[in-house]
Amino acid sequence: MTAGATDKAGISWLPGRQAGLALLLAPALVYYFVVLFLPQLEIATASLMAADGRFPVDTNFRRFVTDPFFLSILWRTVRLSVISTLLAVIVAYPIAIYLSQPWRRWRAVVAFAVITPIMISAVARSYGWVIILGPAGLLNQAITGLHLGTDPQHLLYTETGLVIALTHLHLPFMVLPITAALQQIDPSILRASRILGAGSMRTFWRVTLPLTLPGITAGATIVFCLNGSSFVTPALIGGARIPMMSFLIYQQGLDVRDWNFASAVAIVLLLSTSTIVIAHLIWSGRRQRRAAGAA
Amino acid sequence: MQRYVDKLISGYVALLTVAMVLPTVVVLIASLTPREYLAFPPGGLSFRWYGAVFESGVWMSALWVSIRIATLVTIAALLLGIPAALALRAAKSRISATLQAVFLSPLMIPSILIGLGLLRFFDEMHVRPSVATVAIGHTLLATPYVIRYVLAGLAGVDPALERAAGILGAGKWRTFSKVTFPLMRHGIVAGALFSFIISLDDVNIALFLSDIRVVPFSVKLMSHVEQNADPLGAAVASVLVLIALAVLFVCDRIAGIDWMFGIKGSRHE
Repeated sequence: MTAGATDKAGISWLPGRQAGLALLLAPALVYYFVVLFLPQLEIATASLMAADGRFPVDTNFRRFVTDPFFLSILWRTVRLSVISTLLAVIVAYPIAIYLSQPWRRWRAVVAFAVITPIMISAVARSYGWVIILGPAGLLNQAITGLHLGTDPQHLLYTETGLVIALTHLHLPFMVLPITAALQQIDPSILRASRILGAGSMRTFWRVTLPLTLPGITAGATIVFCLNGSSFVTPALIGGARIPMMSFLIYQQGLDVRDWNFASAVAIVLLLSTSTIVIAHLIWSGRRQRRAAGAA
Repeated sequence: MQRYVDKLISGYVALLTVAMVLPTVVVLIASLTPREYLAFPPGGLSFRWYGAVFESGVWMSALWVSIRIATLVTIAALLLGIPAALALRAAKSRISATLQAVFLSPLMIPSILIGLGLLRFFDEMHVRPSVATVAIGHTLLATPYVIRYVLAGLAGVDPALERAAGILGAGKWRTFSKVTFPLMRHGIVAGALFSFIISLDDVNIALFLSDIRVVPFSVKLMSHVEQNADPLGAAVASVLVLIALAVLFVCDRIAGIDWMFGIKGSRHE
């Protein structure tokens, strides 16, 4: 669809084009300005503010980077988010392959199982993991029942348990973009690769995987951000024993009520997630320009 | 070789499919136990814990709070999102792309920041936590979905249809109400249902914008399961799961789940 064809589409009943567009956009833009932009601007200014309301700029951030406890929380958040994201890529890819093959018999069932969790409460699903991973939970029953071991495994309140739950929680956001990328591949390219003598493994590594790289990076960016900023799952699986950044923000904001410091922690979290988003945008922009240049 | 790879993928996918639904299924099973504690196997089948939830004034008032919030959020997100989506469709593509990025930005920001920011914001304006404050926060998460789904719905609408209606003598308003609007109905329904569920399930924002006088269902469940692992928590979680499944069922009937999540469905092939 070209830009010309969409001009005026659907809104020709409005008086005057420019005024009409402005009128339609105004409510949402005003809402975003007041409810999103102003409060976020306030977080940014508060992060530079000391408790007495003056602006020494560095007080809160200095406190954050000089305290090994806070730094360990940041490091844990980044580390677990990266591990869980990489795990999600490996787990999601075969599912995406399956979903992109229309002849698969259980395709609809798998799609349902993978997609529905997006709509299901994170508290409910995390609670499921608490039940599974807990000391008297299903996992331990299975291990002792199958005589795989006698020691009960304590995965609740561990980083391993948290990584498992986070990967599960955000897996759909990895599967969907990879599936979409796989579905966009022209089958004739794969046939050409075969005809030219490449085996199926070689075709996968040299053709399929590079073509789905944008899907993988898009999924990885979203999953990394969701991991880093998730609150419910770390609070239920890790609790206060393995705090993450979101837990620290919540604690400083609502329990300690040190809003300025909470704002600074929030800015640190935002910077760590947005670095990945911006890197992804630059990378995909370059890639698109290269593709346009090659065409 | 290819056959073995295919088999391997099938087995792997089967295993992961089970793993994907496992936590939800575990919660549903746990909620059906007749016992006082979590038990696997549940040792019988009973709805006593659902009875306990629906007879409890505290849980029911929390559910009512959440339903009021989610209804407000759905209405607000539609009122903000539908006009914006119509304008984005008609605007020049470059402006439209920039504005779309702006409108989707609440999904890029950790939602805990939205909660923290609004907590300060309302506090400075001396607005006390209420159903409205939570709804104002949730609307920010829901509007991007309404815009996305209405735009996606409209993308399937050929502008030629609208021109045809004009040529055939339909007035501008009549063209909109009889042609454009019915064609974007899928997107509106999908956006509305998504808004409702997002609001119902959210904890991150609601935690900051509610207080003990106004406790949404999910927030109450969160604080319950932080302290207890019991069948009552499982029953409450199951209520949320069942509502989500019902909404998904309606979504699939109306718009198709595959379409809503950006992958091609088998039915369209």
